[in-house]
This record gives sequence, C-alpha cells and structure tokens, in this order.
Amino acid sequence: MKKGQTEVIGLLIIVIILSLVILFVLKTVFTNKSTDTTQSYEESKIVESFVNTLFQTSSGCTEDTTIKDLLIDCAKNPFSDGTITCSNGQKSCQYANETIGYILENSIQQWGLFTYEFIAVAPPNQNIIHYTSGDISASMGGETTPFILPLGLSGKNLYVYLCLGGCGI
Amino acid sequence: MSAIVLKAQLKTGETIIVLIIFFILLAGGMVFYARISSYTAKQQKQETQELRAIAIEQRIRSLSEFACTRDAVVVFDCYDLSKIRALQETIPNHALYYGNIIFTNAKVTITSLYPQQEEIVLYESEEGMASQPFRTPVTLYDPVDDVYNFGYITIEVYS
Repeated sequence: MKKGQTEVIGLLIIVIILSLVILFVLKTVFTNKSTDTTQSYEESKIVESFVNTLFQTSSGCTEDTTIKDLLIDCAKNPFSDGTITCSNGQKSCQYANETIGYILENSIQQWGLFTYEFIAVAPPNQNIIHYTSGDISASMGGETTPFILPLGLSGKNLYVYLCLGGCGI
Repeated sequence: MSAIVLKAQLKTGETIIVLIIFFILLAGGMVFYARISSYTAKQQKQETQELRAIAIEQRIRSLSEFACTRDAVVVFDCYDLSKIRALQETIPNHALYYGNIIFTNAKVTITSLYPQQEEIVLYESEEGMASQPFRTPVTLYDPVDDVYNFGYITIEVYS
C-alpha cells in the first residue's frame, strides 16, 4: 500500500469517528424526551381539583348558593342574565363571571405555571363564561374533556371546560 | 540544513499540531460531558423534590385530622378550617411524627382565596432551600359561618 493511500484511510477513520460523535451529541440533545410524569400529574390534578372545588365554593351571592348554582341558573336563562339576584344587585351570570375571573386570576394565573382557557358552554352552544390567559395554544395538549352539569329535567347540559394551554374548541 | 532534517522538522510540527487538535477536542468533549451531567443531576434533583411534594400531598389527602364531613360522610378534596387551626396548634406537641413521617422536610401552607381570605402555615421545616412549590386547589369549609371557600394547598419541599 502506498503512503498516500494510508493517509487517506486514516483521514477516513477520523471523519467516521467525528461523524459518530456528532450523531451521538445530536441524538442526546434533540431526542432526550424527559418523561415528566410529575408535571402531567400536576396538570391533571389542577384541572380536576380546580373545577370540582369551584363548583362547591359558596358564591357569596346569597347565603346558600354555590358557584355551581349560579352557573346552572345562568345557563338556564342566559338571555336574561339569570334569575337569581345577588345581595349586591347583580344577576347570577354577571356575578358568576366576576367571581370565576377573580379566582382564576388569583390562583392559576398568579402561579404562572400554565396558560389556561376556561369556558362554560350553555345550550344552544353559547359561551356564558370565557376566560383566557396569556398566549393560549391548543397544541399544548390541554385537557379538553368537559365537566358536565345537568340543567334540571330539560335533558340539556352545561359544559365547563378548563384547558391548560387552550381548548381548541 | 539538509533536506532530511527539514522533512523531519516538518513531520514533528505536523505531529504537534495533530496532538494539539486532539487535546482541544478532548477538552471540548469533557466540558460538554460535565455540563450534560450537571444538567441531568439538577433535573433529577428537581424531579425527586416534585415526587416528594406529590407524596406529601397524597399523605395530606388521607389525613383524617382535618377532613370535612357532611352527615358523617367525608367530602372529597375538602378540609375543615377549624380542624386545620386545631392541628396547627397540635403539631408542635407531636413534632417527631408530623416532621418525620407526614410533612417530611417541607413547608405546607393552606390558603383560602374566596369568599374568605386567609393563609395558614400548617407546617414549616427549619432547614434547606425550597423547591418549586406544588399547589393543588381544595375546598376549605368554615363551620362557624357555614361557608365553603375556594382555596389551595402549597407544598414546598426543602432539599
């Protein structure tokens, strides 16, 4: 073998080794998907607990109404702003809107971990409450399964969505 | 100087340059590896702290000390504010149990947001640096005024 050929083979080996190293680095950097189970647990826990807690919360509108009662009343009568009149003179829709806005701003929004979209959809497909924070994007894979509140004997339902990242609906 | 000596010097120079490049690459690789290792270690530490926070949250959830009851039935995700205050006073008397088994090396704060505003530090460990807080919304029942508050529990685990 000539000296020139030996040098070419040596160069080739160096190039191959460098390519392998670069490939390994790229694989490590770009395909290292961390299995962030804690974050997904936190997200699902926040959505579930937030909405369930919200429904149970005393509204402060009258002595014995919860936020769930206000939402149901508002969903049944969305065009008249609800039938319940609160102690401060506001109707159920307006009161529920302000209260939910206050709670969202002082909890999820203040924590600053997620962007969110909160929607309450009453029949016939009317958004009675709609709050968003920051830049929402449905691609963030938020929870889009609604919480369903039956509206009495009418067979109709109120759908409440809390999506971390955006609902995309 | 003869041609042979010149050629030998050239070869030596070539070898030295190759060695320098080799050591530069080696140093770069070592720095990269060290940074990746340190980043991974930080990630692992954070994940461990998050898992510990979740474990504490699960333990709090199963504590019968301050669960809400309605007609003798435990209400899901609901805590009684008066029981929480009573437990807050009791914890120092049973520091070993609560400090080592229930709230291991963490700070647990219960915040009532609406309609009543209140913040109760249920337990605070004395040492370490706190992790990113883990929060979970809960209902806080005030039996005195018969009000169900929207609140949340904040758990900060110390390293």
